[in-house]
Amino acid sequence: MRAEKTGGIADALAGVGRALFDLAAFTGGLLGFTGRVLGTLRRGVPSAELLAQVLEIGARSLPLTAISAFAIGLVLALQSLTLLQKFGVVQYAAVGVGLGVTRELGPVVTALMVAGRAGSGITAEIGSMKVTRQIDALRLLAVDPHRFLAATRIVACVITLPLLTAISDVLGIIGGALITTALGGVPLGAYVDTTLYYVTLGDVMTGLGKSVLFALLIGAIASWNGFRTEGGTTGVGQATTRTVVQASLMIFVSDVFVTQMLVSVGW
Amino acid sequence: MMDASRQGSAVGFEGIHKAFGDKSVLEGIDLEVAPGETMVILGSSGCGKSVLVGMLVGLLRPDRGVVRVEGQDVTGFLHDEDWHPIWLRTGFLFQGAALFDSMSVRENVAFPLRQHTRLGEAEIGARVEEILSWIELGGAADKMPSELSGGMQKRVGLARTIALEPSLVIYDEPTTGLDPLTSDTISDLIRRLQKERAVTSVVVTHDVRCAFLVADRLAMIDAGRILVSGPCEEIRNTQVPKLRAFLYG
Repeated sequence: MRAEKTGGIADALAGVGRALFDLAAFTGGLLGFTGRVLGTLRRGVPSAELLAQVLEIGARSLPLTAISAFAIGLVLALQSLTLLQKFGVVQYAAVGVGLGVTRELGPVVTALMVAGRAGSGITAEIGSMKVTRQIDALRLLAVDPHRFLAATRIVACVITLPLLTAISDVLGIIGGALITTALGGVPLGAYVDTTLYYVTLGDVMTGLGKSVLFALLIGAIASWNGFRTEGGTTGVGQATTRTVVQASLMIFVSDVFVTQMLVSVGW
Repeated sequence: MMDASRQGSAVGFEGIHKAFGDKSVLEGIDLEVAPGETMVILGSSGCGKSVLVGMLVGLLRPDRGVVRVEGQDVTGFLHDEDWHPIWLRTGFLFQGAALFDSMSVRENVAFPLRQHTRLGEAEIGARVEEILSWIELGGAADKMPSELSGGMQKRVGLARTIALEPSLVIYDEPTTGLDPLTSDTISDLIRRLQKERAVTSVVVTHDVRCAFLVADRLAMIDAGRILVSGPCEEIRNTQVPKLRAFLYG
């Protein structure tokens, strides 16, 4: 009985050890890769490839992020109204929607959508290039793949995600307005006034700042997983899944840290 | 110390050893390729011939031995930046062609010119047309790689490889997976490239027909070493049993 217990504890400790080792390897690998890629920015970013990626990541993600943000606004307003109607202060639904969307849900949901759509696409593309030796071909044509493939995609994420987030903020607030005016009976003018009064530029900038961090994480994780793809088409599929899981987790984890940091400094 | 003949060779391998884990692949390869020569490296699948030519461009490093390209010892090159001057003078045709599948044929061939020359778009366009007509694929300029047959992909890969007019071209299994007629077309292009542009060529293949069509000299790798090397006629008339078995079944 005691031996079984000791064995169980040893297994648990070994599991924790493995998890910590994996976490250290993940963090070290990602930081090393990102540092190498960002180091190439001294030589500038290939402009044609960057533009193509801005269009791919930004424009093609827009319908998905826009619909998601609008739906979030609708749901936030519905949830707020249910509660606020009990207290007879339905006009404050605009506050819940405005702050919730700009500070938290706008950047997080938009980042998750981009991680799922564009992040997986980046890994699949770079991973396919890796297994078909196109990355070797780039190197042997004396073109740095880290600069040409990864830097362009990371920078494109950093350019587009804040823009998509800003659009999400607006659409989320519009979605909230639709529900609050239609079901809560709040005049549109009052909704807009309340939003402008309680939602400050600082709230918006907080969300946009988070989106820059999320963009960096998505672009780096997606590119890194592409570059370390092994094992043919199966490997590409596995790398793509890894990107979505890792990027989504990192978005949540970094969001907790950043929010805690902002709260602790009284932001 | 390097002797004069080695210094003058386009490519040189000296005592090359390479293992992957416990599996030893190359066990002391010595081989020289003269400037302007076409050297064919023969051997059965998995004998290490692709590993060997990968060392010429830094895709792999030997565990022991010295690799020279155009007289320069490249064995100690660690960073891509070290390799850049060699890469700009060397073309490498991959077994699967490794065309950029997001780019058209025209864009694939134009890519190295856009990256490494100051030519304007009109000049690049004219150069691409010239190269594509040389490989007899002028009509396929706007096709995507996925629309091309295996043989056409190899030809476009060759076109991209020679766009910067390299002095050394390495072919990794250029005819694998192609039908005999298409293989002959590729072999003919390799031969024409050597005749018309005087490039040094290193061809890795297990296609005996291709080997005799393009080679000035041949070398066969067996059990990690060069079993035999020499001019075409000498190899054709070899009495070495293993080589005869490989050539004639």
